[in-house]
Formats: sequence, C-alpha cells, structure tokens
Amino acid sequence: MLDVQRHANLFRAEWQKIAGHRWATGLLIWIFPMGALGILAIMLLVALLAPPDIQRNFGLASVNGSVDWTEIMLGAWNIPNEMFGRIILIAFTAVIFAGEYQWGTWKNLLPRRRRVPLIVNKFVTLGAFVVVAFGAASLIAGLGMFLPVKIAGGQYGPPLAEALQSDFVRNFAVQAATTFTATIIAAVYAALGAMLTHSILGSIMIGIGLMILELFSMGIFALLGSLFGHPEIVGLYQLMPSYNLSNVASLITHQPSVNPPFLLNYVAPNSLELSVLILFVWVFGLMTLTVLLFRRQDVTF
Amino acid sequence: MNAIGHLLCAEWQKTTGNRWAVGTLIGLFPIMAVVILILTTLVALGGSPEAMARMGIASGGQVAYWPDYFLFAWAIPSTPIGRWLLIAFTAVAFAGEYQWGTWKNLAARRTRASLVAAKFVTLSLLIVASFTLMSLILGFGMLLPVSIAGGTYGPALDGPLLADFAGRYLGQAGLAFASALVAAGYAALAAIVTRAILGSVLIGIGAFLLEEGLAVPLGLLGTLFHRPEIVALIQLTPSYNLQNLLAWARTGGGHTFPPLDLYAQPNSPELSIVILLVWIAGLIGLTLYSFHRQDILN
Amino acid sequence: MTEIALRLHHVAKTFGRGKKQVQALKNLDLEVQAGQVYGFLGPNGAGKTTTIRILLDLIRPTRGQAAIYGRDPRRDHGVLGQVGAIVEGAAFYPFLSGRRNLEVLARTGGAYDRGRIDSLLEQVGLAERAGQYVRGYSTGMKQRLGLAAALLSDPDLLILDEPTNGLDPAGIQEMRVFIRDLVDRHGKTVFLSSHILSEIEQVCDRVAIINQGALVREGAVADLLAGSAELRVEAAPLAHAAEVLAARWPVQPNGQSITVRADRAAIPEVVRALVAAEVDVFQVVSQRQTLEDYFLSVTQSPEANHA
Repeated sequence: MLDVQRHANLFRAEWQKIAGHRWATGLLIWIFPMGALGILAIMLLVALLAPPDIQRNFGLASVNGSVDWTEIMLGAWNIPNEMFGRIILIAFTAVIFAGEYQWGTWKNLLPRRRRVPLIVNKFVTLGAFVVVAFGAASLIAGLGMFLPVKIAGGQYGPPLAEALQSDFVRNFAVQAATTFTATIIAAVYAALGAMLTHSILGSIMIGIGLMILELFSMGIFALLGSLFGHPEIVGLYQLMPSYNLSNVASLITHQPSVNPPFLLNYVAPNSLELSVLILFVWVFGLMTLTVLLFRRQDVTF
Repeated sequence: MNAIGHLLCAEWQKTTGNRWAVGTLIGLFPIMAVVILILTTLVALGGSPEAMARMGIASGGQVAYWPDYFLFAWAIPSTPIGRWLLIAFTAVAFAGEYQWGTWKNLAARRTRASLVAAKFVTLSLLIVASFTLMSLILGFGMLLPVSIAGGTYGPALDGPLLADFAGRYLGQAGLAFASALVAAGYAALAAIVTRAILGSVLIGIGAFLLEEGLAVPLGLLGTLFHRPEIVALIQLTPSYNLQNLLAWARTGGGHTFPPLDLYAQPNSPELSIVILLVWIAGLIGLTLYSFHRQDILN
Repeated sequence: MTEIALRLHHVAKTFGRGKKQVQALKNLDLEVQAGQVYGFLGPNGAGKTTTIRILLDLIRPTRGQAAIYGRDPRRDHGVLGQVGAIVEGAAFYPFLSGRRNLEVLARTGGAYDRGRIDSLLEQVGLAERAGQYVRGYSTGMKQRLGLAAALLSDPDLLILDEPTNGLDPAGIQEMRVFIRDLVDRHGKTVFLSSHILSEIEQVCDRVAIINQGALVREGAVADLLAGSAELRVEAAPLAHAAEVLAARWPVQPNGQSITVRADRAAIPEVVRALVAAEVDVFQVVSQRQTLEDYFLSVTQSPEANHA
C-alpha cells in the first residue's frame, strides 16, 4: 500500500512539474485539444454564416447529408501519425527528459529516488499526457461537431447503439493503441537523444533524425541489398516499428497484412503475433537502453 | 582589425565554437553531400543498373546534366526540413545567449544594434558557406560516380552555357538566401520574444506553417464577409513571393492557384523582390527594435 | 562509540579519456562522526563538489567506496533518505513557484507533508514569496529555498555545498546560527563545503582540507590552529634579539619585528630572556593564525601542490 502511495506521489510530482511548464505544455500537448476547439469554432462560424456550397467544402454535410461522428473521433487519433504531430510530440518528450539537464534539477531528484523509477515514471507521465490530450481532442471533435452539423441541417450519425454494435469501439481502441505505441516509440528516440546530448534541441534533433532514418529504412535496406547482391536484405524492413504498426492496425481491423509490393518478392508478411512481439521488443528495448544509459551516467551539473 | 572586424570575428568564433549545433544544423548540408557522393560511388561501383537508375546515376552512355547537381543544394533552404534546420540554427545563435546568460557580458561592451547585426551577418556567411560547399561537392564530385557508371557528365561547357548557368545559379542562390533570411528573421524575433531556444524554434516553425496555410483562413474570411478577393492578401506573404519568383524563373510565368487566380494576377518578379526585401528588413528591424527595448535580466 | 555519519575509503575519480583525462580525486579517505559540523575546504577545482556528488550517488567513483551511516549509497539508495543536500548552487524549475518546487521534490521523495513545507518556508524566510515563480528569485532566495529543500525529509545528515553563496551578511549570519542549531539542538550532522573560511572557522568542529583531489590536512579546528600560535616581538637591537630567541624558539625576521613560533604562555619567558641579554623590549604581541592563513599555507606550499 505504501509502495502504491509512493508511486502515486512520484507520478503526481512529474505531472505537476510538466503541467506547470505552461508554455511548453500549451504549445506541445494541449495544442491538440485546443486545435480541436479552434476547428470547432471555425465550423460553427461556417455553419452559421457560410452558404451551403462552402459548408459542404468544410465537410459539414456529405453528399447524402450525413456526417459520421465515429470517423471524426477516430481521426483525432491519427494526428500523432502525421509528420508534424510526431515532431511536436518529440519536442514534448525532449522537454520532459532533457529539461532536467537544462534546469540543473537532476541533482535534486536523484538523491530522493532511484534512477530507474524516475525514468520509467517520465515515460508513464508522458503516456498519460498523450492519452488525455488525444482523448480530449477526440471527444471535443466527436461530440462538438454535432452542433455545426445540426445548424447546417445535416444528419450526425450513426446512432450510438448502432455504432456500438458495429466495430467502432474496437476500431477506436486499435487506433488509440497503435497511435499510442507509435508515439511512445518516437518519444523514446527523443529520450535517448536527451540522455546523449543533455539538451532539449539536441534531443529533438536526434529524435527527428531517428524518425527520418526509420522512414527511409526500406530504401536504405534496398540499396544495401543491391550493393551486396542480396536483394532479400530489404526484408529487414519487416523488423522496423513503422512496418509492424501498420501491419498490426491492418490485421486487427480484418484487413490484409501490409506488405509493400517491393517487399513481397522476398518475404511473407509478418503475422499479427510476430508484429506485436517485434513492437514490444522495440518499445522495451529502447526504454531499457534509455534506462541503462541514464544509470551509468555521471550527473555533473 | 577594426572594431567591426573584431565583432564579426568574435561572433564567428562563438558560433562555430558550438560544434555540436554547427555540425548538426548547418554543417549537416555539406556532410550530406559527402554521404550522397559516397553512396552513389558505391552504387556505381557495385550496384545493379536498376539501383543506379533509382539513385539517379547516369550510366551506360546516359547524360548526367551537371548544372542540376550544382543547383540542387540551393533548393534545400526552401524545403520544410531545410527551413526548420535554419530556424533551429538561428534560434541557437540568438536564444542561446539568453540560455547561457551571456547577453549581460555582451550588451555592456557594444551597442545592441551592432550585436544583433553581427549575428545576422555571421549567420548569412555561414549559410552561404555551407550551401556553396554542398553545391561544389555535389557539382564536381558527382563526376566520379557518373564516370564509373559509364555515363557522360554534360553538356560541354561553352560561353553561352556558362552565362546561362551563372545566371540560373545566382538566381537560385539568391532565392535560397532570401528564404533562409526570412526563416532566420522569424526565429530571431521569436528568440528575442521567448528568450528560449525551443520557444524560438517552435514559434519560427509555427509562423512559417501559419503563413503557408494562410489561404484557408483568408478564403474563409472572404466567404464569411462576402469579400472573396481577401484571399489575394496571400500575395503579400514571403512564402508566396518566394514561390512566385521560383515560378517566374522556371516557367516564365507567375505563381497562382485557385481561387487566387479568380481575384488577382500573380505579382511581377520586381514586386515580389520588393515585398521580400521589405519582409527581411522588417523582421530584422523588428528584432533590433525589440532587443533594443528589452530588459536583460539574466 | 560515536556513530560514523560519512566515510570515504580510497575514493578516486577520473573524468574523460586519453588526453582529456582529468583526475579529480586521488585516493581520498575521510571520516565524519555524527553530531558535528564538518568543514570541507579546498581551492577551486580541488574536488570538493566531485566528492559531494559521489556521496549523493550523482556520479560513480572510479575506485574506492563511499558510505553514509555505513551503507553505500550506490548499492543501497535508501540511505539517501537520511540525507539532505544543496549541491553547487540551488537549481529549481524556473517556471514553478517556490512552494510548488518543494511540493514536487517532496512527492518525488515519496513523503509529501504540506504542513512541513509551510513550516520550512517560514523558517527560511520565504513564506511571503513562496507563491512567486522561481525565475524571479534572487540568488540568495534560491539558496534559502535550497536549504528548505534539503530539510524536506528531516534528514540526519546535511551536505551543504557553498550554502552561503549569494546571501547578504545578515543571511550569512542567520545561516551560521541555523547550522549550529541543527547540530547542537537537533542532533544533526552537517558536512559543509565553503570558501568563506571565517565562517568555517566559526561554525565547524572539524575540517578537512583537500587540494588537487587529495587530502592535505584533517583535524579539529582548535588543534589545527593550536600549533600555529605566534608572537610578534619589537625590540632593539633586532638582530641581537633574534639571535637570543633563536636558541629556544623558531624565529623569523619580519621587517621591523621578529616572529617567534610560540604561544601566549611563553611571553614572560621571552621577555626575561631578552632583558637578560640587555635587549630593549618595546612590544610582545600574541598572534593567532586564522584558518585562512592556515588554509593558504597548506594549499600553497610546494608539497601541497605536488600532492
């Protein structure tokens, strides 16, 4: 019981600290629900003041006069998968991890708690912020759009019971879980960058660099395969997080597994279980690496 | 060396002494050129014809158009990643002084205007040096993989080609430099306002994104107030004018897009240059003014 | 038997590799008994902060062992719950208030007590400004907040690195009284590193002096200074006086006077010897070496510089 209390206290301390950095949280995490509110305000203006053709351009009513709220709610969880959304979250992670070096505050924390729980707690708090921010953005957009759609005279469907009977809850959970995993992987890149560079900007640069490297990994593997006369090397792409994230998202929603045509010549797609396992290894591997680096580090400022 | 020379020299020493920042944010471009060169040479030495084609290496009697290699580097400052890196570099140069608490050492020794001006001059020199180096490395260096792959590095240089190339090169470099200075202007102003490297980077990038997406809110405002021609205000932004100049250079016609084409003619190249100059001078002037009035507290 | 609060055994620390290698500590041995104020002195770069960081498990020693109440903080991190510290100037989250900073630190340590935070803010004189952002605090205020942070968990051992930095004279005096009070009335142990030697002399029971990463001297303040009492003798003729006194005490000519290495009790004997030798005595003054003199003599001697 006492241990739970200590962990709760540690989480609360981290939350207080990050939330207290209003400028960073405002620009780097609350921007997502605030953006949803901003879009909602624009939609209301359009619904109230714009002619029907403009309202249609803004997606207030589709051709058959109905707007699907489930798609809107799922859409919010897609933002971290976009390049800019990912970069913002990398910057947020960099503030959380590298900020302690910049403010010289590790020396206050380390005598009070062991390094491993301190770092793990940072990941947990980051995850909580991501879930709260995107959950809020999703709710604001999903519930809020009811008003402009109704004002514009459209239908806001499907009914809740129908949505629950269909795959909405499952799709929502899958979307949220894959996005969350993708965010955590990008975050761990930034956390590693923070451990290595001790600077917020350095952490962002390394985070973005690793993300871009992963993005181009298939091309790099293809090039290596071509150079060494072993084109099947491109199959290594199936070990990368981005491939497995897409594969899991696709397989869970009963769609075929992901495999770029180029890859199909050499390897079969990963199974769901293998993809989940590979993602698990990436997330925990990178986190462990971050913890190990931090454990061995001399804190000299 | 006179006082201005010493000031510039000090700024240069300070900026380049931050090896980590210079290496990853500005030195990255020539380093990338070397990496590209090594990769293409390796592919030329051992790769299949498909791999060479994928890497854009002219082989087996194909002609590699060398002016493109020279010009490639100067396209980077207008790309999002290139611009973000330049914003980050400017942020380190300006906001770094707040973070390290070093403005107090400097402001007592020189006028604030000269300190800020020295920063802009040094940044400009580093930007020009970095992209020129990248351009030269790629322009001359690509001869090697192309030759290995059996391609031709052409066309042969003659008087008219040289004149045409020099004109295009200077135009492209000038445009890239203007783009870099606008990015630096945003980041420097943000650095003075936020006094933080991260704040400067985020606001600098945010300003650019806002400017590039301005057509949507302008279009919306035009619709709401029944004045659709408001969208033509986009022609006053740096992004539009940079693209406009690029379009004039490439196609001989200005840059436009729907629904802008319904309400305004593209700016002339001269007008675009004037607007860009006003932006650059305005941003630098605003940075100077803000810094001049600022209390230095740390 | 008195408890040992802190012990360093053959502790060495090397930073960097190859040409950039710097040996910050060389086989440092130190023992601090509980219930005293222990001064830790050394010139800039002597290794004081490195030692403190090793004790707090912020950096790992290259060799040797540190122990707090007999437990190695590296293997048994829990022992640091008994320690409060200010390391190399207090640093806080500038975007949080003073009170919020203390709350965050208390929660990180797992023991949040609002009443204790209020009381500590009161004790260090920050109660009225606790709601303000730390970015607006002066150096002295940050230092006071640092002391409050160090005391959050009611530690048995306080490790204070330059705690009076940025404090005004009244603040320095308050800090001195506060530290003495912690030891005398509350039974705490204080390990105090400072450059202000007069402060150390007034507040510490024992001191250790390190130079270039090695221990140079260690002992009770009174003992270290006891052997260094001097007499300044003004007499004529000076050369004859020096000759007479040199037969019994170490003597050093010093301009218009001579310095005799002897304590106050020797004054009658000195005067008798001079009078017997028909030397005119004008003045004999007892001079006690300060800790500052002593510190300079041991850290600037050639042997110390080759330690």
